Amino acid sequence: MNRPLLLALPLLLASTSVVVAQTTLSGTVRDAAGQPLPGANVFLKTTFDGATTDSLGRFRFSTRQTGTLPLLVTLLGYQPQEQPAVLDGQIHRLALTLKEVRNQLGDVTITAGSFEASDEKRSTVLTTRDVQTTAGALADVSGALNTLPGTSRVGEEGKLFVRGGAAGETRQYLDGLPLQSPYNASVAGVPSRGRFSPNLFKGTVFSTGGYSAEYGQALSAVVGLNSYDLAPETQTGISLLSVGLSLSHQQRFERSSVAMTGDYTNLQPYYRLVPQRWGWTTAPQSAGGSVAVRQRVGELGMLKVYGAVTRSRFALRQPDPAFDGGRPVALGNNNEYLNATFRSPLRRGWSLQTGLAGTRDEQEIRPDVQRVHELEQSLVGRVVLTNDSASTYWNLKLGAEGLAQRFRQQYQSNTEGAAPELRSGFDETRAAAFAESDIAFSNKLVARAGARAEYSRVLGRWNAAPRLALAYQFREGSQLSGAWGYFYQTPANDLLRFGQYNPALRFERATHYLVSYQRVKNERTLRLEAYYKDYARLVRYAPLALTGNVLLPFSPSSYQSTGQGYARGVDLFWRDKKTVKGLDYWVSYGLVDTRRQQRQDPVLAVPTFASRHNLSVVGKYWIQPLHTLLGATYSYGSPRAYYDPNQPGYNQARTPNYQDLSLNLSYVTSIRRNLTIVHVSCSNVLGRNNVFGYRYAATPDASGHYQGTAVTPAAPRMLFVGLLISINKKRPADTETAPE
Amino acid sequence: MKTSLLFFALLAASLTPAAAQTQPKTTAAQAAPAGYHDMLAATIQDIMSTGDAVQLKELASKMERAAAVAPQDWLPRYYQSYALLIATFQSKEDGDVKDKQLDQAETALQQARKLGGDKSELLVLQAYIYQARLSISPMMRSMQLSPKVNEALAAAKELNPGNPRIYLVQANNLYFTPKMFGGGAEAAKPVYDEAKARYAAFRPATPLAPSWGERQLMGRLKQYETAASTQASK
Repeated sequence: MNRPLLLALPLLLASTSVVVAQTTLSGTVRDAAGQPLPGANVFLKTTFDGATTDSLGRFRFSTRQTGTLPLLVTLLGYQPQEQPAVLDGQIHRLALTLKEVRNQLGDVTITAGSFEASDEKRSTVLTTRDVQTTAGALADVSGALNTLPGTSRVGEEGKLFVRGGAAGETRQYLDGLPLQSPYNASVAGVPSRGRFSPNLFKGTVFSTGGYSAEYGQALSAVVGLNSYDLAPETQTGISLLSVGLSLSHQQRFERSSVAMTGDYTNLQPYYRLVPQRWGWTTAPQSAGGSVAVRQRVGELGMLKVYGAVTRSRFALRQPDPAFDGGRPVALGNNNEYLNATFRSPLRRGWSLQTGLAGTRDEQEIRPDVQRVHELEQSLVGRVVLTNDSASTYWNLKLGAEGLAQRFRQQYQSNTEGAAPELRSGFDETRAAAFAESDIAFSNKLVARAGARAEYSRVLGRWNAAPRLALAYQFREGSQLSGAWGYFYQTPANDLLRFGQYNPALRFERATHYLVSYQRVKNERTLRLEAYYKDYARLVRYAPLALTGNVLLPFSPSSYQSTGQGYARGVDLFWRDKKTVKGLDYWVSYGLVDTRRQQRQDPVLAVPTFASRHNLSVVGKYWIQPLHTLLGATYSYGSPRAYYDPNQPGYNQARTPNYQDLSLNLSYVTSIRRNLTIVHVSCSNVLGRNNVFGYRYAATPDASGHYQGTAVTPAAPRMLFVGLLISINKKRPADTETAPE
Repeated sequence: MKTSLLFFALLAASLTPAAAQTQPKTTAAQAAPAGYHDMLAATIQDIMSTGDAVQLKELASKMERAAAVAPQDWLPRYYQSYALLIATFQSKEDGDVKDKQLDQAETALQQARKLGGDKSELLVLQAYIYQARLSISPMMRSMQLSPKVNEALAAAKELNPGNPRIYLVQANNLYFTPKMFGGGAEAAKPVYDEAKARYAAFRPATPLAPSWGERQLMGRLKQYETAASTQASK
């Protein structure tokens, strides 16, 4: 381009009244790296004249305008650029360069460690619907999360075991508030389910490591459950299940909504039809109800109150070498939960999130003739202030959390005994504060730095946990990220009962290091993550002289924070919704190498709940003409360790491997124009005899051999049939889409 | 569902009358440069008479230019949004790409809203965008988005029950719902008839204000007639 001429021309034009013919402007638009930019809008400001660049970044247009006009180039994600253009009836070739807009926060989300299930965000790995339609999960949040990498199937517990961590190392949060009793009460060997229905949640975050400073009291993993705001429509639901009945009604008002549920479960009729291995004296039964109130406050504020009550009980005889016909055990549980949260924007970019939750959980366990009564009450509150407009390139999150907890246990060695022989318990007050900031260094590099401090009264100690995560985005949808941090947890209730009297007892600690690569493109997701987790200060105590005695030793000095361990491994996740029309499948594989010395472990050993190789293949196929969603889940877990007293060593024996193929089917139809889903599911359709471990007699028999029995599920298969009807006056049933 | 949505979007794009019957008039309130309204009218006509995704995107860019010419006028933003929306129905690109384009359509719609555009019309367009998003992944999105479509249409009706496009979008929804669940051609017919009556009574507030959809409706009603006559001749 001839610059002097260009500058001189306007003068020339201004001084002469020559009629100028059409000017043609053409050229290319490129980014700073010289790559062509398609779709840029190149035009003369204040006119309609312009063009959009083609796939090679080229443009060409003509104009009858004269003089000098500003030429504007705009493209989403780039800074608009303006430069004068001289319109002199000639053909001009221009080479234009656009600068990228520097990333605003939120463009790159750090994905290290976490799986997010959400209805609202686009590129999430799982959606809420997945929780409900995964075969084998039986609409249980933990069941669905168990198909993700990093988890191990522990069939006799039914809980989440993440990356070589015990179930208690995974903390669940409901709307930001930690849950004290996330699972239904159960006894050893009887798997439990999550207490909360997946229908309550619009989104779930499952983080298997390196999580935000917002979360404390979790050594291994965090499950964040986010409940729905206003119920979208007035609707009534009736669910007839092979195991019970559930009714729900939600009423929507202009600025508020109320939702109520009531359910009753009784497995007695089912157990009568399908033979069980265990002798159930009282089949599991429960009754529960919940109320959820939502109120919009002001323009963007939201007040949510949720309360739930559950009563449940069962009694059975579990196979046990020491008891003919099985060892009897009975359980009764009363649980009440109340959660109130409020969120609202404040001034100058700040927003407030606050909440209070109370739990009361009462359990009465009767192993044989003994009686254990446990009562745990807790109140937890939190305040979080977030400023998203602190700066364009960083934000700030500040929070405080407080907890008051009371745990009491009474023990009687036989039910005839008038007074409890042992009373134990503790009172805990915990306070925590955290600060965190997301910082965008460039278009590609984002960091999250935070720290959390906690004080526990029962331990009389402080901890400080720094956390750091980094993400580097190569190109759209592909990211390399890493995280590091300290994670603390107070020892479990049963350990604190006696351990509290030892002033040397400390917080248990895990250090996470992880690096992950994720690519999300065209409805296909690939994720690879490698991690190392270092455990320190785990609680150990002296083993009893007699094993098998239910009475725990009351010897505070034997409780010491000297346990340690590690877990390292690789997680792989692949999901594809695209290749076959109507088919959505994912494959999860997790390799974990872990050892620890904790509780009564005499040496560093592979824990009984960790299997080295874990594989899940989940598939869902929607058959449009039949209005039917078919689902299948295959799970494999390599042999787990257990302690066989007949052999030398510790946790030296291995169970057979675990395999399960579960199928489900949802047929969408209508009854009197009301959307109806018929759901049938069956676990372990191949009838494989899975063994989770072995239970040994406390003392050897006459030949010096310890008798053992296998720990297995109550029945090889679980068949479930349900009829779910939604009554919605406003909206006719839509059976053309896959069910929720 | 996906193909059917695409079909009526195609109809909307190719059969709607251009805003050509309207003569450009300068509104007193807006001081747009000379020739602006002519250009705008011509561009609207171009949008209404093409079904080509590439062309529609070009025209959306042109509308963006128009918005730069008259930054206080909501109409260029409205038609920019409309053109981007229709283009997503026509293109064979990936869902992600379409979603991004719909993000742009929604941004333009928001700008139109900020400029004080006709709220009822903007809500209908919003409902239409929801439908487009739904059609990208009906299995995943239907449960969440179909109530939003209805909600937006209900809000539009409350503001201006005389807006015929509400009934057109609503009737299309019904038309593609299976008969056994209260939808189907028969159930949709009265709503199409209502739409017809509303179109007959409808006069756009300004010559360039939204007036699309009547040709699509007529096409649909003609289908009903053809279906009826083939039935009769059998």
